[in-house]
Amino acid sequence: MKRRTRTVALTATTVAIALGATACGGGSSSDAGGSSPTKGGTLTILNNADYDHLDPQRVYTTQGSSMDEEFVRTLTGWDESGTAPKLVGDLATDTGTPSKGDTVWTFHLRHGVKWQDGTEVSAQDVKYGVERTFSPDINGGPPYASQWLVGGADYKGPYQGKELASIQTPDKYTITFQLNQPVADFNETTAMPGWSAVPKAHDTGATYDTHVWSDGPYMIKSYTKNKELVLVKNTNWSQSNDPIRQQNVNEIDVKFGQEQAAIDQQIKSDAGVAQTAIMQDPIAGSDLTTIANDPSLKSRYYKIPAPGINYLAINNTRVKDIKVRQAIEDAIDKSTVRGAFGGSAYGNYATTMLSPGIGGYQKFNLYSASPAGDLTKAKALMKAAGNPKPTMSLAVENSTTQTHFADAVKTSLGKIGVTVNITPIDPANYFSTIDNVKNQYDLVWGDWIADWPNASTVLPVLFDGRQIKKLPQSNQDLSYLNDPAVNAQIDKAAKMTDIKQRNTAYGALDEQIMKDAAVVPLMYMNFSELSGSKVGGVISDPILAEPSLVHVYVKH
Amino acid sequence: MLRYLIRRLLAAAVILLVITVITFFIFYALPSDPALLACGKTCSPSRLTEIKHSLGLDQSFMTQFWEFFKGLFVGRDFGDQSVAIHCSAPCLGVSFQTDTPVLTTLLDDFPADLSLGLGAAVFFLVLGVGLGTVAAVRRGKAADKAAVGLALVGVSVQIYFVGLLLLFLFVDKWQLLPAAGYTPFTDDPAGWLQGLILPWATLVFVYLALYTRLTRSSMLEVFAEDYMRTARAKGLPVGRIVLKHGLRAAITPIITIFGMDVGSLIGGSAVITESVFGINGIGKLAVDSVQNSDLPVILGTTLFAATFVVLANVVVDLVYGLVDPRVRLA
Repeated sequence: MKRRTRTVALTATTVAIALGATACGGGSSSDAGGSSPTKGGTLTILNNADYDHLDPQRVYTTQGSSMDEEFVRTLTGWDESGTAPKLVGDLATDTGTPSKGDTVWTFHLRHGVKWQDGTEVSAQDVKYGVERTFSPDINGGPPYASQWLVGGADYKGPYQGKELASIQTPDKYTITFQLNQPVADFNETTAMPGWSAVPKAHDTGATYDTHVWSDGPYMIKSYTKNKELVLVKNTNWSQSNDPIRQQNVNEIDVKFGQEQAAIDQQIKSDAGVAQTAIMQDPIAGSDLTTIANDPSLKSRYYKIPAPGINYLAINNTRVKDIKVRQAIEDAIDKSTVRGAFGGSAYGNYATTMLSPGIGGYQKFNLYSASPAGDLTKAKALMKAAGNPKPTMSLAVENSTTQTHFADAVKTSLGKIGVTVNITPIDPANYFSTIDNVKNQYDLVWGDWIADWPNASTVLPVLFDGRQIKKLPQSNQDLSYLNDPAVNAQIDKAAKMTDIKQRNTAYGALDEQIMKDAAVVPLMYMNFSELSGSKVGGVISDPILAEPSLVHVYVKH
Repeated sequence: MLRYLIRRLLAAAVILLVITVITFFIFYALPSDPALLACGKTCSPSRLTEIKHSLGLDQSFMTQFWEFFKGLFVGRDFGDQSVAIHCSAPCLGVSFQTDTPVLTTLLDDFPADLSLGLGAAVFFLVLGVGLGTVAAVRRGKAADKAAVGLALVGVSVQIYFVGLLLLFLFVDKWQLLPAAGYTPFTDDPAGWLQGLILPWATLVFVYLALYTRLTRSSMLEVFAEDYMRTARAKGLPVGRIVLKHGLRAAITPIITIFGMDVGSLIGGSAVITESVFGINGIGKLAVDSVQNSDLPVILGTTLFAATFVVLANVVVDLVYGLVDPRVRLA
């Protein structure tokens, strides 16, 4: 998910990152538990860049999705006030009812949920909202609606007056989705912003970003792209029918465009308006170590584990010998690799493609027990492969962080006789280059954040080899693994309706992929943010890897 | 004079047209695909085709250029009929990224650049020429060394460093100024001024060096002229010799550079300063648009900046005629 802004933000800022940081534990939800929220005041958000979109059907970044929670209600949502996120009905009364083997999903809407003009949110509004996803003008959002809804492939959105028959609204409070395949975790998909209502009368098409009509606790007062967004209270919102959000502050002011280092410095100083300010873009790499290690900042430093993975993909069609791939797994020194990305504050060493916190995660390690690698084993594997002494090309983003990373890989692999040629690619074009199946790289850096905390948005996306043909320009299978056993297991897991059984299947799939030595998982990523001392009620949201503001308040 | 002006303005229009064509060409030579960027993560070929069509990128180069050119005079409509975005003439297109008409964004950002660029320019011109003159008059003395030394420091440090340092001291540590950001003059004149003090200081510090050194060397050259000796021999007061006879002759090359600097500053070249101080100006817009392959905005910002540089050059030539009696415009 949403790695575009994340990636851009990270590569732009991890430039001067210090090595070997040791972070103190995350000060997660520092004020959420103890003190009761104060009402009133203004929360300021200082962001380096504007959101990709706020239009719920177009947003696909963690920042945008997190902000949308303030004024867009989705069919289901995550209640994160407890120890672990819990899926609850948001617009819907519950988390939905599947039937016909998970191919039909029905949601009943709460009565009395109001738009900002006082009219009631209806099932027809939700249908219209989801239908918008299909219009080419409403681009940028996740692909799930068009992939799964029956007839989605040929539907072009509601603007030419056509409706999508597979979304049915028998009455004002009931909505049914007919899917072309079983999707057992469809109700987790519907927690994404796109599965929300849009009133046809207030839809402004491609410019809806700045005119989003609210059914949440806040509404847009003014929004100038790349400059400022001002949210004020939506007086028609009611706490009684919203299980997720609160309405504490009077106003939320988001300011865009300042250098991340200047934002870090300002919030760290905790002077004036910075006391009631927070950021949504991660702390600049050059500031991460200092901030992570400053005990005086601990209560307002949020180290949020992302449901994501930073990895090195090995092109299986180019590096065909599995022994060579296994040798690479053992040879990579993950400690120098992590140093390039910012040290321990950046994340823990990974041995699996699923990160802890994702449904289906199972702890296992098929390769070197030490993160520094096992050269003896790696050399033995290369010997067994006939000491081929291959030359491999490695694609990375053209940034200081990533060139340091590439150097670390080059040094590691040099020790087992692999010559690595580094190709740095312009960050703005990095993913469009490596996602294109025409690319000729042997090794490729990649990262991935799950769309919802389930293996179904990680493993099938990254390892279903059938997409190589289907999506030639946006292939996410960077390792070009096209293992019939893996593909079959993907299909099998997708059809399972029992969550436990399904998670076990995904765990086994993760292990199968690691047995294929298709990719080298490097780190489970963290994202770190900072707030002023008078900001309370911030929840570390491990699903979006953002500081969630649904309970935020400012102390007076 | 009028004929000269008309001729220059016509030439300027031709230059802008050439720049438009070149920018269009460069964009097409780039490997990036804005439709693919807009499409998102898993983009099927059919969806990509639809978005290409919706953005007008499926048309030929000539058609796209013609549509753009026509839009300048008659305006255009973008998107599906029921929710189309209207872009009225002179239409520079609609951003792929923000779906806002480019001209609206440019005009919105312009006051910030104008305030930043013009304000800083006034200070660095006055201070730079002043320091340079003092340095020239007191050549080899302590004042000269101090002025030249200060200038050297200014030209050596990075805007990024000076800006963050000033922010840290004046905003975060001593809290003498409010948090960085641009407030429109019409909203709050005091806030406007407070927000611009540090960005101005940063730019002045960096640009000052050039003007001090330029003025100093130009003045020294003029001091060596025969008419200066004559003026001194006549017994004119020193102030009059330096300012009226010396500076007036020495200022011509400075005006040339100043014109270009002001033109490009207003046109958005102070991008690092904008970024450090959170001023959302045209420079930042231009950099972002290149990163996002946002052709309409790339074109718009390029044209906008070019317009100011070209106009500044025309103004410089006119000012020559006023300042230097040796120049006659015809």
